[in-house]
Amino acid sequence: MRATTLTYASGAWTRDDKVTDPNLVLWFGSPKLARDAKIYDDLRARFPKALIAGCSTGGEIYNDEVHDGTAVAAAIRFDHTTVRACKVAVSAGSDSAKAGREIAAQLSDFGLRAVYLLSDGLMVNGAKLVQGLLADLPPEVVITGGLAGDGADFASTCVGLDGPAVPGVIAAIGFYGGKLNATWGSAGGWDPFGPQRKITRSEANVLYELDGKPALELYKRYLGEAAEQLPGSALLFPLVIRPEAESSYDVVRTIVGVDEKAQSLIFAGDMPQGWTAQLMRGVPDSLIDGALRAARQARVGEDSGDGSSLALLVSCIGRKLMMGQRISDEVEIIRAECGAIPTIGFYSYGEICPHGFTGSCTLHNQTMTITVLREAA
Amino acid sequence: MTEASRHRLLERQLKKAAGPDGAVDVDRLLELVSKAYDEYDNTLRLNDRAARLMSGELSELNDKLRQESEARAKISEALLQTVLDNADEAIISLGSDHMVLSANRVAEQTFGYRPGEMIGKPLSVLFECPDEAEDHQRFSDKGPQARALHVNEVQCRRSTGEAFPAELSFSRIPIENDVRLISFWRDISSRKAAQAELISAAEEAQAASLSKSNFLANMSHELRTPLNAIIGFSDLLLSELHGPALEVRHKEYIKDIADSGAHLLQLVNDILDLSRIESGRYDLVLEPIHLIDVTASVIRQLGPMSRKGQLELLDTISGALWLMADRRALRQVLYNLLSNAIKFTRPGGRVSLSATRVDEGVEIAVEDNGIGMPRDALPRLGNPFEQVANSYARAHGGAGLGLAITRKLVGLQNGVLSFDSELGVGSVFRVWLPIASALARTA
Repeated sequence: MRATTLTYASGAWTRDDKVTDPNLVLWFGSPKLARDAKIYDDLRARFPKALIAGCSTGGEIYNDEVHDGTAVAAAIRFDHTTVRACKVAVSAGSDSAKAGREIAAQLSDFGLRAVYLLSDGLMVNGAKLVQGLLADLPPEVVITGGLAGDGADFASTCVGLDGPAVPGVIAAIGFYGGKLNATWGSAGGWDPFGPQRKITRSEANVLYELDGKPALELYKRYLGEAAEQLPGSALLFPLVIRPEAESSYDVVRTIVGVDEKAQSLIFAGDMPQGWTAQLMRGVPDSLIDGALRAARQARVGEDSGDGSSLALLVSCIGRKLMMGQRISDEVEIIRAECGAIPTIGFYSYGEICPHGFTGSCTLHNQTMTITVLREAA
Repeated sequence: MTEASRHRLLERQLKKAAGPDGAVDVDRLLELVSKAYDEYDNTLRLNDRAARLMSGELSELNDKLRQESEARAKISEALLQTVLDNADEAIISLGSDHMVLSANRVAEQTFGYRPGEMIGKPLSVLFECPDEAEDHQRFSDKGPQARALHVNEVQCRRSTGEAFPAELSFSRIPIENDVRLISFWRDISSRKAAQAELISAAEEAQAASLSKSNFLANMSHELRTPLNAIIGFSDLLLSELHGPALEVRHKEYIKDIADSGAHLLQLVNDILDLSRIESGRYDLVLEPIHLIDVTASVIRQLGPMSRKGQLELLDTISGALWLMADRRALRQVLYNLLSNAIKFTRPGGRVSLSATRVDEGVEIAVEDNGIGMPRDALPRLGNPFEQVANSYARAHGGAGLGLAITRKLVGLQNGVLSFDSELGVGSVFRVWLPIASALARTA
């Protein structure tokens, strides 16, 4: 396997002849660039035979740097692995679990080792999408990926597969063959604080009340003047949810929308009624520490950085909002851990990765999620 | 400032502010630096705010929890006080030093102290005997962790010095590093007195019953001796073995004396039997008996009586029916029932004796078409000295002892006596007795 990374600057992709005939090209672009068909068209012109997939972001990661308003890409040539992809159209309120099962049906085949998902970030309940996929795929298949972003605007995201990116698409790439070795890591670094609150009213991913009081009100109170930047600013206080106050299983949820009329908050995944929720807050140092833990979990340090492996980073837009200009620190620390592996990534509205505690794939929020692809000799 | 000692963030800002030629755009740099300060301020402000709100929320919740637990404590305190105030038992709590910490109202009343006066008193003042107090102190120290220990009867002392018996149990409640003892006392002096009364009443009653039976047995014996003389000599006179010394009129008188004597003797014998049975001195030997052996002899014996009464005595018993019974008692039962039936049946009537297998026994029936008895009198039948008020019956005398004896004898033989009767139609008496098994018969 050979992999190399490209950036889009001054209206053109950088030239790199390290990989000339890739099977797969992945790209991540700022909302503005992603909506421009030129990004795809240029890649297609250069790599006529490759499978090309990409999505809009809340920021792009290129090796050890974080950018806004750019596009990044990775071109990968597999020697022993076959890639196959499919896409499913979705609309607001459509059944995400059904979409997941459709993808599973299209990709399910002998030798399937891993699935990388790029999904619309606003029309999909990521948790349900993953449940749908899990229901119909063998448990050993590694599922990772992320939900497309739209900066901090939460207005429209887009995904493309072998074509320009458009809203309402889920693209899924299947990797087949026994030599593929995909590892993953995911960690947050946010700290729960304050009282545990009960989810007293919710419907799927819409949260109405915590402890019998409107959830939106709670957020506004904690955000103060930052409430004006809702829903984006709500990412500064993610929620950790657990089936019960003492459960060791927990998952972090982040807000993707606000409904002032219904006094409700819309999350990227389910908010089961009766579960316990606790606010979280971040400080840069602990988030950076979380990124390091993710890198170690993904065992990036084992790779030589000669282009025979590729790191795909999906980090949460909430981390970027929290850390501001220090956001590059979390990418730098991964880079320090993994050496010079070709690395691209994006800031997303939701990360897809196995859960560190259960090992079963789920939707994450507010995490740094790393997928490393490599092939055994 | 050397490049190496610059902050990483500044380094990054410088890089971002550099133009394509490498020259730093100062305005761009200042913009980035200023933004970083703002971000820092915002983060600080937000975290400050969150910390403030959280601590407010937590202390609110804490207050709420405290209020809730105080309310709960008040409720359980009120509950406890109600239980203590209304308990029948004296409840005294003690510290590990065995000094009274609290005592409920019943405790104060029981031990004769004024409200609050018991607090601080040692456990030993509640006991009559100091040794017993020490035993219980030791025992309560070693007792199980909680729940009542076993109940002990102890001698207590009231503040007046009066001793009284009580039931005492202890519970041991560990509280942090200390122990509380809760003691429950129940004054049992009135119960004891009542028990003693009951026992002596029962003893008296037993003694009275025994002396009655003895008296009856003795009296009957004393009565029988002169009666034998009366009957014997009147029979002798009537037989005229010593010459025809009597006029016809005198002969009638002597016959009356003989009849009355015989009647009185029967009565005395009945009383003697009854008192023997009641005092448990009627010895039975239960053995396999061939029913027909007993019935044949009783029928034979009663032949003259039935002929005299001009009625038919019918015996339908045939075949081999073996009973487990006492020969003398069975004989007496059958004799009593048949002679009664004959006695209460008018001339021309009929008395019949029959027997059938019923369950694991034999039912012997004595049936007559005599004067019968009113239905409402049946429940009293068979009680000693109760005879149905009936002119005909009264004409035949008797103290109602026959049936009482019969019933007791049947019972002694593990049998059952039942009867039915209708006024003017007749009566039937049934005696069920257990059948003798083949094994018993051959034994």
